[in-house]
Amino acid sequence: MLLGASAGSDLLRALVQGTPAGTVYALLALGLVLTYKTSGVFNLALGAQAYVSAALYFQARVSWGWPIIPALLVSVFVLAPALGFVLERLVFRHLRSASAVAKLVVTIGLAVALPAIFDLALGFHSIAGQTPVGIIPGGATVFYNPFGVYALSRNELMAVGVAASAMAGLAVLFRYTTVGLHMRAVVESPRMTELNGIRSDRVSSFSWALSSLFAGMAGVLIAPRFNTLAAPDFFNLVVIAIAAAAIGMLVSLPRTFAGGLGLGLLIAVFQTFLPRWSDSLPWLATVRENLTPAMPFVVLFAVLVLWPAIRRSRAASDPLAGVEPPPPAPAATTRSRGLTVATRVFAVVFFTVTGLVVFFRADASWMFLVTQAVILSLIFLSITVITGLAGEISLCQGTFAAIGAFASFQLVTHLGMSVLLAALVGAVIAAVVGAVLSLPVLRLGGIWLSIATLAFAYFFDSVMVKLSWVGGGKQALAEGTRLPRPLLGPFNMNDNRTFLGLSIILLLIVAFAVVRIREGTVGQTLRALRGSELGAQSIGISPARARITAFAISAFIAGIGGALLAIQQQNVNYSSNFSPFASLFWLVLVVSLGSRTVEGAMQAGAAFGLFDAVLLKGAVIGWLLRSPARIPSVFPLSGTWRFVLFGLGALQFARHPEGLVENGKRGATEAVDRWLAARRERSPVVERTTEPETAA
Amino acid sequence: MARTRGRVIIVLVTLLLVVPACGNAKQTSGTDAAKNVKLPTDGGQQNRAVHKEISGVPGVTSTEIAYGVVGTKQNNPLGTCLLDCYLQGINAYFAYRNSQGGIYGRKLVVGSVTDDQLGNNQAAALAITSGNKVFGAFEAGLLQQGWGDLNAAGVPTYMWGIDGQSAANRDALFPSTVIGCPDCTRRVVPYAAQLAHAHHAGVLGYSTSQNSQVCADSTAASFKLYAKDTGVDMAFLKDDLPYGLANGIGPEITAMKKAGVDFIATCFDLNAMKTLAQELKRQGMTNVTLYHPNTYNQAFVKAAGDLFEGNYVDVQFRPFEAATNTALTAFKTWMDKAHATYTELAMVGWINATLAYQGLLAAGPTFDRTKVIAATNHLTNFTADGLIATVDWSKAHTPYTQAARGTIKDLECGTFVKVVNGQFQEVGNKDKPWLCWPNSDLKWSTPVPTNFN
Repeated sequence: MLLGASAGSDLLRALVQGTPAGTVYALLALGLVLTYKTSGVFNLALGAQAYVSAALYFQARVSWGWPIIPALLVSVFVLAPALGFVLERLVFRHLRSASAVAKLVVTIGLAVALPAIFDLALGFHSIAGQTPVGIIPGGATVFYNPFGVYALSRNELMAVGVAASAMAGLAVLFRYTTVGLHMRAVVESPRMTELNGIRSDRVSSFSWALSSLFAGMAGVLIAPRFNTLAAPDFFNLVVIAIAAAAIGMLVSLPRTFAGGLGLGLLIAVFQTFLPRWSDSLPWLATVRENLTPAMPFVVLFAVLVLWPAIRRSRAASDPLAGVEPPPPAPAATTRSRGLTVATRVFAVVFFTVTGLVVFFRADASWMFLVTQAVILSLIFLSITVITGLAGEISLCQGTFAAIGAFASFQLVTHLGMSVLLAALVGAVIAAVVGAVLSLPVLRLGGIWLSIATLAFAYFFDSVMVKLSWVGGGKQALAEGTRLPRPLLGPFNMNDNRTFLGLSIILLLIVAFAVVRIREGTVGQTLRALRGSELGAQSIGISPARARITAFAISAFIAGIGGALLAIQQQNVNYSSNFSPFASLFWLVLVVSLGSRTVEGAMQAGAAFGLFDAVLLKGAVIGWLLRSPARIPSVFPLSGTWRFVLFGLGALQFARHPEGLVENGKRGATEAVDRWLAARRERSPVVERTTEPETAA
Repeated sequence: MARTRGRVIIVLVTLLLVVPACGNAKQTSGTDAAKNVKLPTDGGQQNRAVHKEISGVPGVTSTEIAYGVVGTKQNNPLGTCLLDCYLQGINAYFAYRNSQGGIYGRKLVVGSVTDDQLGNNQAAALAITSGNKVFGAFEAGLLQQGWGDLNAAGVPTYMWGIDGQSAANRDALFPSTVIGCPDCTRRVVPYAAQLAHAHHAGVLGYSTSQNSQVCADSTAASFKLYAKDTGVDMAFLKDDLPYGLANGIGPEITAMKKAGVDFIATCFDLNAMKTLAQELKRQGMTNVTLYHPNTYNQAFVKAAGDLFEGNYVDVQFRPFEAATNTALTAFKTWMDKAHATYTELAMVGWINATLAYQGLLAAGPTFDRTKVIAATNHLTNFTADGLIATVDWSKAHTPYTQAARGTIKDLECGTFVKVVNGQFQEVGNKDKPWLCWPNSDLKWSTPVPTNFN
């Protein structure tokens, strides 16, 4: 009886303890759902928007000494809606009928760029010990103990109250007001709404301002939970909040609120009871150690994969979206024969000269960067396969790369295997994992598939990496996850030039394979599926088999690239190479530059590997001025600019879904063709020689 | 079909040809030469002013010996002062030595400073190895991907010792704190609990950092091993908390409260210690003493008000609050001259610079990188002039186990301070700030206050 009373008291305490964390998840999840309901955008930049308001509030209160009210007004009620309004006008208005996946990519870019722009503009950076303050006096120091089991701070109670009020207010807005109805209608189809005389652009602007206001408020309320204010914390919370949003299926505000709160409570209950139970049930200790940190991701994955309602649901799509023109054909397929020859000659000359300069003039530092760019290009070809060919967004390519790297490390360390063979086996393991993962997630499709892969990436990050048979455990702690360079016959790859040669050869092999896949049966099948899944099925194509194949091939390429990267660095370096955030960064970079072509992947690899050294550190100016000593003192520029430019690149994806490189190539091709045509008109002797090519 | 079969055969034949030829290249190391170098006989303080012309040694001119400094400034998730503070310590030491005429007629200078922005450490390290413009390197990066390259290139590298794994078996790397056995037990934490008159200990660590998790497990093992001797039993362990404690730590504190925990040792960063202390206060556990591993930051502790009152804070070197010796006096003097604050990283920079200087001294006036590495690895009694416990560099690169610890280190030492009125205060003997136990066995004994002057 006494035990029962104690357990009941513990349960009540756990529920009270889980409430503040649950409220945080619910607040952010409500923001996600609100944005999705009002704009059709699954806004991964929500955390960034929340961060911007929270950081401005913090700056105003702590650094500038403003009182609470003006700081709150400026950061939440002015900046946040203004930010939402600007984002809608400049970015998302142009994406209204784009696919949910395209919108997702843009929000990932914004998630990176917004905090960077804010930090650069205000010179803001987190300082250890400078704790964010709440919006109520004594928020962190005055406590209330309503149930006599656990005290809640004023800040926490305020967050609970605001979240509950917001949920109720939003429900009323959507259900009972004309504005709410218009907002929902605009999401369904802006064109059909316009046909009914409603100014969909105004409704959409209002929606964005409202959702951004909500994000800003959430940010300011959440901030006191962190002891230092840093953007990555907000992004991680958004990923957790996605689990709650998934419970609400991105449409139901009450269910989302319950989902967020439930997640907080579930974690607190597990934290309270699992350690106790595992004393008598030893097997539970293993579960506890691995499950607790990954709980949100497990819940998210389970909801996505096991909840039939989600599998049945599809993202709302505009019935008139089909009138949008399809992406233009690649420039390579439309340019004249002469231009194609000239382009290829230029490419051969350029790469030969660059290669010779790198091989014979570059020092170890440049050699490292160029080799890294080559290997990243290889990894990015995995995105060409899964996104460019299959049309699916995978947010766990970094994880597949990590699997290849860790598998190689384990095979070399424990079996003494040749590192190249180990890399090959690691890639096969990654392919198997990719295929197995695709079985449950492929049924989801679209945005849910992307989210499921993100959940898998975070699960791997928070659980799998710690397992000794994956990340090496204590042995790795003592000696690192080191890998040797290969010895291939007479070629000792400790020599960086030789290793660069090997990397280039592997890149060319994989690039050739990707081109063959694109032109072959698998590519044609995937293209057919992208055009019309039902149509493809009617001619006997199995969508599941085709997509599993694409996932496995993509994971294989990522795996071999990951292993190669680890071999290059002679260490797996998981945190800096393969974190879930890296996957997001890679994806946006590749699709921004062009995910449908091999060149796009290679240019993304070059951009990722060389941008810092060539542009931000001013090397290119040093080359132009023929002396590093002449580089202006303004260099090196802050690395934060990389994130800003990355975000701007992602924004361009909204306008040019075929990729910036492809867009640039088409523009250049057209300009050259126009110039040639004008020349021909001036010179009647010259015969017309610009027959379009039929093949790339 | 036949075409496909043909391709498969080609691939298999290629693999059959290539695979047997595959192997793993032996890791070349610039330190191999250092292992065979004949130790100089002209090293030492007496020859400090001897100037001999040296050619072909990177970063060495007739007037200067230049070093490169790499560290994390941008994107530092901890929000702490790393690169700038580290650099202050190095510059202060160089200014101190240069005021005495430098070494071998040359000034010690910082030739380049690179912010690795958290993720670009390897590129920064390679820029040092390929630039060939500096003699040695100082490293205070949070992620140390470049250490292997510096070692392979035979660049003497002195670093902030937060990551023991990266320095293991690498003879050219000299971390400020040597962690040869991350999972060995330590007596200093149970001793602190005993000092606090505690009875039940709790231990917390992150799962997101294996360093933190292993640190928590070894601390828990220490409490268990010495429970009978200290009267402090191991009552609660949680080594799988998410980094940053964004979910709070309420249930864990409640569980510890139920277990009667009155002393908590953690393997957290300083920000998480604040979260922990706030939660303890919320749950009315203000009588619990905390043992901080990474909070030796006076400004941070002072800003936290009374949150850390009575807590113990681990220090990796002779605390600023201890009685000054020659080295500590010099540190304070030269930091004051630079108008710099005494910080943990500044002291790490100073200690690293001390080893760089002593390595040069030991290598003699005709020094080069190989000689300096070899000579440094023959320093069997390095204490940075009394700022750290003795390090035997002839053994310090070798990882060891709990069973073999006695053969590697003679003493197990630690030092910590106590927070009193928001200020750090030395615990115990100010002249002998280290508490040391013999490493020959694992038996409990009263620690011997020790001075490493």
